[in-house]
Amino acid sequence: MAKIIVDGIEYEVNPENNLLQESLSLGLDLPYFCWHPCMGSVGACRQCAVKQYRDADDKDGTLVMACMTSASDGAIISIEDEEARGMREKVIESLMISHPHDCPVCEEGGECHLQDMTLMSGHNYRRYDKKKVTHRNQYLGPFINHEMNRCITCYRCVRFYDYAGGKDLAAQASHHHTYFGRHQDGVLESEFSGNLVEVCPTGVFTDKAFSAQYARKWDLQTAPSVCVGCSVGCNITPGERYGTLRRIVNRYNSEINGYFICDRGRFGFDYVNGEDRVEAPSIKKGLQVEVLSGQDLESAIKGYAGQEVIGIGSPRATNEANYALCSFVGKENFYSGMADNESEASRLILELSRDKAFHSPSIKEIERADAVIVLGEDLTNTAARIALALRQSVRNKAKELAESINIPVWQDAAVKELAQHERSPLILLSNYATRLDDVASDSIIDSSEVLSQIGYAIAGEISGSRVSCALMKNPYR
Amino acid sequence: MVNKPLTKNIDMSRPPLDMAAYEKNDGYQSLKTISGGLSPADVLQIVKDSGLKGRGGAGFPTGLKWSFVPKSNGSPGQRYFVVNADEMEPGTFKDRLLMEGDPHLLLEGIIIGAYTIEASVAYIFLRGEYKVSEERLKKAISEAYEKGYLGKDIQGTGFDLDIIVHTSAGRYICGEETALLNALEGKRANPRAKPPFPQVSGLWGKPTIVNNVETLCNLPGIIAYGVDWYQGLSLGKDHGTKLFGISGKIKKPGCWELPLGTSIRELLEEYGGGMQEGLELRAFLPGGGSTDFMLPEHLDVKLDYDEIAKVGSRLATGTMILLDNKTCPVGMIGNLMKFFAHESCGFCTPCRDGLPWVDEIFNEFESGRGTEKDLKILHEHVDYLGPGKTFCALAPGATAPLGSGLKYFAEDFERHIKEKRCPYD
Repeated sequence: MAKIIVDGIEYEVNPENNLLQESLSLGLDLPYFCWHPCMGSVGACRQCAVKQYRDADDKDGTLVMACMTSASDGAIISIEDEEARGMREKVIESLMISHPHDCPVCEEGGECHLQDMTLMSGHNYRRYDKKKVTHRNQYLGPFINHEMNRCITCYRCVRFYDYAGGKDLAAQASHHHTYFGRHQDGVLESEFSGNLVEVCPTGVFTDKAFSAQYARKWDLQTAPSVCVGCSVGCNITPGERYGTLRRIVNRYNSEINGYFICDRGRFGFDYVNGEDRVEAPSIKKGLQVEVLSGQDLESAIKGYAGQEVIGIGSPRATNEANYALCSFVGKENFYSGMADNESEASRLILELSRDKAFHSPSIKEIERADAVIVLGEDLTNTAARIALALRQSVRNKAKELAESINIPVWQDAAVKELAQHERSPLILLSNYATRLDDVASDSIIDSSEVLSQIGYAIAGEISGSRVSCALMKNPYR
Repeated sequence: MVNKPLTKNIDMSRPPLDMAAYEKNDGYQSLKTISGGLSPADVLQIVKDSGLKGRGGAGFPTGLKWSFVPKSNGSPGQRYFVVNADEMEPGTFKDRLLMEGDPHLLLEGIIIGAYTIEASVAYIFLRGEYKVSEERLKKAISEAYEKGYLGKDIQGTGFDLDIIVHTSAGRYICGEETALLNALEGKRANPRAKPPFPQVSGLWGKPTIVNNVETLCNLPGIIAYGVDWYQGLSLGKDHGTKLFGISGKIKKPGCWELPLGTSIRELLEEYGGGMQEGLELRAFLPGGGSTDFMLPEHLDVKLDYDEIAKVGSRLATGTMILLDNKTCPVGMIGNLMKFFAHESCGFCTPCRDGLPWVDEIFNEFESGRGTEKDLKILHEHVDYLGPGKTFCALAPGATAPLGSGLKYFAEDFERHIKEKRCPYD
């Protein structure tokens, strides 16, 4: 730990971080746009200006950007300094000169970072009376709205897009005509494009599906929840209004999804509102489907007493529903909906994990791994959030290089410029090409048999004993 | 003894000297001196001792810059030497003279620089419009390969060097050395955060030196004739000669090599021939568009880095832009602001959104709609776009003519407001 002084008060901070991050962690109000806890600092927006003093005798100080300055031991800064405040007021005034006055109809309403920062920085009167810069918007697919006139050019969108491995969104043109978009209209290719909605500090990228059934954020009923899209269990916040699910947003969990979820998790919920969704017990008579009331259901069930009835459950149904069905038809007549061999494999995995026979790393741990081997899994399709974590794990080499020449790892652009294409090992063993191949140090595409042999060989190498291929029969043969 | 080492071979009425003619005139003499037993550390010491300062604008000591490249201890790894030939500063046309007039001199300078920092690849990042320079440099490079001054094991020193000419797609910001490196890597030409400096993490993340064309053209003489000769060239505290240019309404606009320490009056009157008939000198920018105005009262100031700094401006590129008494200073500054606003890379807020506001205000002034409120906003921007507030030096450069102009031509701004028109129209 290090000690710093902010406006005359001493605080304990982590010297590996920058002054902005530490100030925010301490609960101090310091406005910012381009910095993001997951993506580090680039020093573009200049909103987090503070005064730094050489020592206790230095009365003049120098203006620095908190995001670009280490929270090193002994640092003396002032957030309240008049010049620093003045600078922050000027920055927000500049950022707002072309921002439209469409707040009443803007989908960002209720969660606009720009609005919060504008208020915090003390800008409440528009002096700019010249012509505003305007842009044309693009069609970016069914999920994301594009409204470039609202852009304050913080570069977060393109930096996130790069973080997620996307190639089709970039900063274009220059000076105050800088434009963030695709080379032409078209569906955003990244499977994480929905995060643009949350990464953008204002309403340039908004949730198009939500816009189509918009409700003001404070009118939504929300509850903490967990995504059912795959087995990762990203934390989410679904929002409901008048009996329909309107949108899903990320809910921060430091060990799992952090700040980001995949598009399937964010946008893949429409079935919940589907008209043909089975919402009550029904019985099919010929072509007719009859909805049963609670009493009808009981009498219908009694009607089957003594008959041979089987129940087909589903791994996608809740435990409670499966259990109810199983108790009704009896264990011997219940089918879980999984093939025996799959069920056996799942049971084995559960058992081994319960016995702590292997360590199942969290996403945070995956992001910190020195090297990763993925055996026979197309993570982008089966657990997309983990694929995003693997994209970060390959950057550990870059961070290592940066540290070796004293570049702090939060200096995002400097770390990338130094490391260029140097990456930590990521070895993919798959049946086909996957969307992680672009960052893999090695991609081996082969049959499942060959891949499992490689897997056994690796396991043998790690455990120091030969692991027999016959240990477990390939359930898919 | 040679007293104009930069231009001794230049005669723009004929093509530049070819290899044979260049060599005959002491060309590539420095390589023989080096192969005679100068180590990279020896060359570095000579350049440090010479007191050579960068001629691109900042005037940073060249030897000191080179010394920040990490010590190689015999295994330097990949390093790059980059020539900043993206001459885009308003009013500046000195590097063009050197590249078109004597391309071998630049190549010789590059070889010395690359040898010193142990770089095996050098890039000349050339302004795209400099087609003649490109053609002449490429011809000279092929002659140098033929002669064995480039390629493998140059002059038996064991030193390898390839020179590649890269023509820029064209933005003013590419002249900022880190934006230049991004552009060279094929990326968006935004400047990089410093630290880390290019000497540590430069082109493709490797140690890199970026030097201006004119800076490098000083090196062959320094190595061949020595530090004492070099220091004897100038009249003042700074060493060597420098190219000085004049544009504006003067009788003979042009570019000349003169000793550092020559007076501004001598440059304007003896070389430029004085102002055109009927015009008086009102003010001048001493070193391109990013320097503060100086006034006729400063004419006896010496063309020297420190002397010009003393009166609140910078020698910078050494190429002057003159303002006469019949040209509107508000219009002249507005023109520069338009340029800087347009050339902002768009990365940091003050520059990207501040300069266009300044530009809009100048448009209002010129069309007679300027107000006191606008004037106040201009004054605020001088501070807001100043050093330390923006990501790189582009906007602080723009505030030099803006801030000094607001100070020296306050009356002209007021007249634009009161008369609701440009009084010079």
